[in-house]
Amino acid sequence: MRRVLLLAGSPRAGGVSLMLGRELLERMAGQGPAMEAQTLRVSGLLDAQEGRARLHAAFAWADTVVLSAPVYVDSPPAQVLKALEFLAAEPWRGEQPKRFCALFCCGFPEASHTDICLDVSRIFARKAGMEWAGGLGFGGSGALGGETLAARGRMAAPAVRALDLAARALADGRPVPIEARELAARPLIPKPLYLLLAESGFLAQAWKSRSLTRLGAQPFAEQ
Amino acid sequence: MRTILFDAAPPEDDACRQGLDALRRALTDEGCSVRTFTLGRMAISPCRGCFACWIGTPGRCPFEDASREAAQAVAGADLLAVYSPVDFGCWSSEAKKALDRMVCLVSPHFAFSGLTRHRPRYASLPALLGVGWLAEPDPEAAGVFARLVEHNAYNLHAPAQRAVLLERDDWSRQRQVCRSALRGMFQ
Repeated sequence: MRRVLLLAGSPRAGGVSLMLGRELLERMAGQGPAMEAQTLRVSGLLDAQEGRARLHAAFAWADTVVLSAPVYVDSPPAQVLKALEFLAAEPWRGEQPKRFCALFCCGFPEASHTDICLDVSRIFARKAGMEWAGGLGFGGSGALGGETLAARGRMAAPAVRALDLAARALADGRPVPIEARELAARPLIPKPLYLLLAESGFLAQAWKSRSLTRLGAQPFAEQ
Repeated sequence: MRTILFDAAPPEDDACRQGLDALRRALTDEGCSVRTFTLGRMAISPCRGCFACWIGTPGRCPFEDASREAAQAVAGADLLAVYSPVDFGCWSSEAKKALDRMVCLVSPHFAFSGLTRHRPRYASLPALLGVGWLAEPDPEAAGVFARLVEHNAYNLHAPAQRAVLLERDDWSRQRQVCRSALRGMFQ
């Protein structure tokens, strides 16, 4: 029986990174031997002893851990780093090394914004005595929003293929292949169009919030 | 030079705090007037990723805590110096909690040239000096940290940036390393 833990790093309940993590786990479940999975959201988890115990127990239970998170200010969100610090404090060296895989998504169109997060994840795996199973970085996450990738139709085809390849490799005990990482990094729509749509989205939200004329406010400007 | 220092050194880690002391001294040596935010003693909640600081209350996070004062100070500074342990090539969670909340200092609008980033909200934002503490030598983590500081500076529209890593060393040498970095930034 394979035991997979999904660590969801977004503070938002319906975030794209959580959806991508779930999609990967669904695909992994469809490959190879039977698989049990559990999901833990790291947001607020370490604030109480009970949460720390839950994270510790889930981590000890899993043989493969998948971290899925957004990029915040070029690196993993603070809450994710707190969880990694907590877990690295106890190196996990069993008979079979635990495997660690990471998915990061970013609202900018270029997937290269996720590179540092994947590097941080790789170093975490080394420090925690785990086997680095590779990762995927998705740019343009605004275009991936929704319940499932299937709902995004053909536009999400490279992301779907990336997750398929990653799931198969992880199920076979291999690291995520380069081809999957390249597919994940492929822009879903041309960058100018993506930026136009994203900008329009912000403006529409601002219109609804009646803040359209104040978007450039400088509340901390010196008087 | 108006300088804001984000201190994320754990209070119980004497070796790490020695580096902080060396950095502080280097800053005053170079004529900086330093205001320190000791992050471990401040009530700062993690960013919720709600974008309210861009859309709902543009320029400030609607959740009032100590990060607001820190953001205001950073907006009016010439230099932001961040000191933090570097565990995985990244800021510690304590430092990152504050840095995540500085997203209100940039605009939701995109800058359309080069690698995508948001436009600055203010006419000028401070230069960024990232000083990391590495308890043990780790070239891989050092390389990632240098890239991280460079990216942070790019996205925060910092006019200059330097990444410095301090390891177990003599205090005066640590101070000299920090002084050299400061001079290099503003030459």
